[in-house]
Amino acid sequence: MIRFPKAATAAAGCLMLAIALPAAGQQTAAELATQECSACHVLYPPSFLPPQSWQRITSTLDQHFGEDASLPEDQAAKIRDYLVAHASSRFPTMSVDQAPLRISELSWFKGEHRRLFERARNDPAIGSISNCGGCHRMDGYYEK
Amino acid sequence: MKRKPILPLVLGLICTGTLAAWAASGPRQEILSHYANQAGVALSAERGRAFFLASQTGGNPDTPSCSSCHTANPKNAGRTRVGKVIEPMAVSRTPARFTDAAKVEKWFGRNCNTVLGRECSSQEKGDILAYFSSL
Ligand code: HEC
Repeated sequence: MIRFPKAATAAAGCLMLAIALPAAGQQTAAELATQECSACHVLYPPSFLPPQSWQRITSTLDQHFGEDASLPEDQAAKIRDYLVAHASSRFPTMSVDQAPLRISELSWFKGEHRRLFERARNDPAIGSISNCGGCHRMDGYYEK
Repeated sequence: MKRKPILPLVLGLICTGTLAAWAASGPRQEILSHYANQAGVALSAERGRAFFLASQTGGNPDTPSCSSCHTANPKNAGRTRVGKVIEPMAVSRTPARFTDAAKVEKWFGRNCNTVLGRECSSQEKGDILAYFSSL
């Protein structure tokens, strides 16, 4: 059996780790969407909005509800494709310009959260109706 | 008696430690010198502090200051407008801060536009990072 000196083995391992770490940055679209969207808020379920909404949102990220949330176009496109692919098909057909931007303005959402808009705003631990995790379990089921 | 393979463990630890330290401080120093070179003046944490706390105009009136989201004390966690926690900007509290040049540029681009309606200069960026690194 050929025996390598331990120090050489460790050094080689170290080098391989240093090379492998940056390469591990290959992300799926879902991972990229989660990382970028949830820098500011939870990743809202793509199925809450129609594809046209996601097209509108991801092509106006420089004016995102009063904030500049721009991304390089290749990343925005990857996220757009992911959101559109998982969007709701239950909305009537509409143009991208007319598509809703706010989940919190959809009628079912307002119906379910009627009394909670003000409570969320006034509770410092929640802060806003857009902070789903302030009240819900964020494990994909949105249980209270 | 079998000897425990202590040497690989020690080397492994040294390796991880060195990589981690290199991953943190090297890039941050490089980012700081990059802004300092571009600005052509020495960076000032004191100027950075004033800029960070100042109430600005030209951007979104809902967030007139960097401190609107990051709070007036960068050692504290901040909050986005929808209530998500932002880890402290102070390097002493969040050691991974400002070690990824692309990330730093991305957020300066966004946040300066949101708060001031314009880009920040290299000097403003460098001063801010000098301030966050000094805490
Ligand atoms: C609307 C809320 C908001 C405002 C206003 C804001 N920021 Fe931020 N900032 C964020 C968020 C969210 C992040 C991402 C935090 C993270 O990755 O942990 C961030 C990240 C950063 C980063 C990058 C941190 C890193 O780890 O590389 C810098 C630098 C920064 N902000 C500086 C500023 C400056 C300077 C201002 C004022 C001009 C400002 N911010 C105003 C929300 C804000």
